Amino acid sequence: MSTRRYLPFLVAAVLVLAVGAVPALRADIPMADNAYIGSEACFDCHDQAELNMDFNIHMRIEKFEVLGREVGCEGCHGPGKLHMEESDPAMIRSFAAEEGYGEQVCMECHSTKNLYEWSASTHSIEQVECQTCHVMHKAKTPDPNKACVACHPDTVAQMQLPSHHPVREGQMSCSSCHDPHNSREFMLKTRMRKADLCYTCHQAIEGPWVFEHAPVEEDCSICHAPHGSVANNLLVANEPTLCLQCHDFHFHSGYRASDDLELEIGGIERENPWGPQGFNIAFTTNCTGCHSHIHGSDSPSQTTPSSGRGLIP
Amino acid sequence: MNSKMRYLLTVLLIVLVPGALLAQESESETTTRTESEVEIGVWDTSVDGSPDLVLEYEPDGTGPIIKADIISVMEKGSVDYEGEILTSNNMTNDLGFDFNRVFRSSNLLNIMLHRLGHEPLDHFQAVTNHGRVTWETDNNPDSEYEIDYQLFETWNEIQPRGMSNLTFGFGYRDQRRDGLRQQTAVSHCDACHVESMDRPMNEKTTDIGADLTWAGEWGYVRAGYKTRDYSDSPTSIPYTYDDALHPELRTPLFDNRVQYDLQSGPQEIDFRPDTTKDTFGVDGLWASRTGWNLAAEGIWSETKSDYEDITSDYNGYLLSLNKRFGEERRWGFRWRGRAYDVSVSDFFVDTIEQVGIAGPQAGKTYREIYDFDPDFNRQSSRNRDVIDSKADVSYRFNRTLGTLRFLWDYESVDREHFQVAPGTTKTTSNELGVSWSARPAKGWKTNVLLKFGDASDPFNGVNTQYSILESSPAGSPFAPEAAQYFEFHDARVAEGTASPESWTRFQARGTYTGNTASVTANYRYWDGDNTSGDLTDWSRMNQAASVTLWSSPAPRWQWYAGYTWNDSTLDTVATVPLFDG
Repeated sequence: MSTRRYLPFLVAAVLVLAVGAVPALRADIPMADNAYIGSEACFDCHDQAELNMDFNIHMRIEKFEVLGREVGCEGCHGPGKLHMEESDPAMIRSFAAEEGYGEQVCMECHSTKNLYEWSASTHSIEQVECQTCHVMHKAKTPDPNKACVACHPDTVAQMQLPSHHPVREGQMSCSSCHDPHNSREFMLKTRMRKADLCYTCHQAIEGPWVFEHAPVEEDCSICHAPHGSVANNLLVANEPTLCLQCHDFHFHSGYRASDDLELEIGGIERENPWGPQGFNIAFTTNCTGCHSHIHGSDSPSQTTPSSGRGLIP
Repeated sequence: MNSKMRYLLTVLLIVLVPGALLAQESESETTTRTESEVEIGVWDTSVDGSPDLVLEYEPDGTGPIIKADIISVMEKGSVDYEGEILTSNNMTNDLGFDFNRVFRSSNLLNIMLHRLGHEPLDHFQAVTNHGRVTWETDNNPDSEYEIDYQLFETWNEIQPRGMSNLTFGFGYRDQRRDGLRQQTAVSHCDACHVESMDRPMNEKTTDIGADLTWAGEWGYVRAGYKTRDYSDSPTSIPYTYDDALHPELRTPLFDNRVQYDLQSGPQEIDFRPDTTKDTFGVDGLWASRTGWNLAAEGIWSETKSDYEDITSDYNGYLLSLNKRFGEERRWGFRWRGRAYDVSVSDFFVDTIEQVGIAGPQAGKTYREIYDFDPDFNRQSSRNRDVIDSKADVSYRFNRTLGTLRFLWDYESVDREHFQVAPGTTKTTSNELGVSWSARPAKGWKTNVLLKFGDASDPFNGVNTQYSILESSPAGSPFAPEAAQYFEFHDARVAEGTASPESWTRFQARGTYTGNTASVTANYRYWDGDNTSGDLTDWSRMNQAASVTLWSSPAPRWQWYAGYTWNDSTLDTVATVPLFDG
């Protein structure tokens, strides 16, 4: 292993030391001379909020779940005593008031509750706020797919292409593969290689195999477009174009067949609908018609000269 | 349990659970609250032609649709169900419940039909040149290839009140694919005879996992284990190959170049070996008082094939740091580094070598006739050491001017055996980018991203393409003096790839949100090429533009419309003999 491999770690360490010298600041939330009064007191005035929040998870969680922090209205909005006494909107946390304020409050609980990586996520870095996707005063957060479409319309549009995962049919959602709160590559829900996420549902492909196909071992997305494609099986291009990027045609494909419309093959009269282009069409139309184990196989191909490597059972 | 029984049970669940809850409500009206929304409708779908192309995952015909969203909160817990049922093999069900918030459970049952399509293979029909042919036989021309897909998933957590820093999670996932799919096999020599046949499937993947998390103000530590078993039944199907005959004479008078044929009897093909995958992981996050978040994890995984006793090992380690700092936390810094290695055990392939049974090569193997050794030691192309690093520095000006972010992604993939250029197994890539996201005016949101990437020796097939620039024309393999098959492989001297050595990515998005409507315009462009191949070039360009409109003129009335334009160009070299490479 060469020393160049450690270069990114070295650069990062230097950056860490440099940045660490800058003191951290934390936005203050007004707490002085205040006290918690309970959600019921809030609902005396905010009756519409009571209706909306009746089944909200934030009204159902208990203090022990968030390591003793306050729950209910004041879990997010802070103590309400002064706000109630003086009817002053300035005396309570308002999430529309300041950019990034909501995230800080949410993370007070969620940094140790399921959203461990949020602060390192691309969404957080890009200032996507919690309220962008979540509706706090409803019983449930909207359909995850609808939350994503606002910023990722082209990706959602790809789901409408002829070959797609069953997202638009409701059997999957964006969050089946992506966790919008994590800091991983493409926010994928895997802690290993990208392919390991695919293996969650397609374990049959992982092998390990005796006869491998190198791009399968490299990266599924060399051949597949997971969000949707025009070509069948989520392929980035139709066969044989997809395969011809790396592979030569069979030598047979250059031969010309006969013009005869009827041929005797193996003692059987057969049609010859393709005429002289027969070899071209047979060997350049659908590679996986013969190479059906394109993801790998333990069965050797029949011919000795190929040493069984043709991925044909 | 068959699909009808599952359907019945699900309907019963929908009816009985709220019923039971409502019954309880009558006994203790003050502690149980239920809100439910049930929609009943009719669906109707008809298809002309091939339903697998336009209705891959949906039923066709007519039937009722039931959609329910029910939540009930009691003194000692809650139940929350959301589901949609079309048919016995098309439904989604989500059920969550908790007991005293100490035990929390989320459960999912999804069932759908997946049409696989039936490839007619008729492009193989009757190609011949002096009697040498490729032809096909569909043994089950009327079969409809489709599977029932079923996924059941449950994840449960226990967080004791007295030890709320600890959370114990455990789950089970059961995925099944039952049905019939198409399988092809090919017999060689006299002809390339492609045969299609039914392949029953009864695929089952089960995951059992558990983890333990210890969380506090300082962060968390978690350790987890998951084991996965995959099986299919039958594991393989029998197939009898044609007799290997001389292509010209259709007699056994020639060197035998197949490992097995009719004389070998039925062979087991299309192996789907049972596999077991065990994964153990430890991860944790430390949130320092100075605002640093430091996360680390280790993952160790082993996947084992039960058929050929091959094992694949993964060992990965990750370290990440991030911090917001400066006045009003305007500066942001993030770095993630990961190192992992993958190794698969070697496997010696001992090719079956038949002897010619007649003619001048009688009693000789292919190896003896052509001095060609077909045996080899398979060394896995999966084996590799990888290091990747992703670093960001961002600065937030204010709400109007937004956030400017600079990115640097680095990856080094050092493969143990697979060469991506002659004598080279390593790919190094760097990607630099800048992004700007802002809210320039009330209701407006914009985001622009520009990235440039460069890779040395990207994934590439060495000697996978034929080139008339380098290879001398080979004779007909059917003529007596012709080159042999492996010699044609030797004539492939050019590189082939579908991976870029340099690329540009640009994305721009703007959204305007009014009181009851929003409009979003988005443009995405990606352009990459690889001109470092020895004799072949490759390039690809994708771009998409979309406009979406959303409006909610009344609280329970929403509509949405979108239009997307996609453009993709692939420039690759299809070499001889069809085209001049």
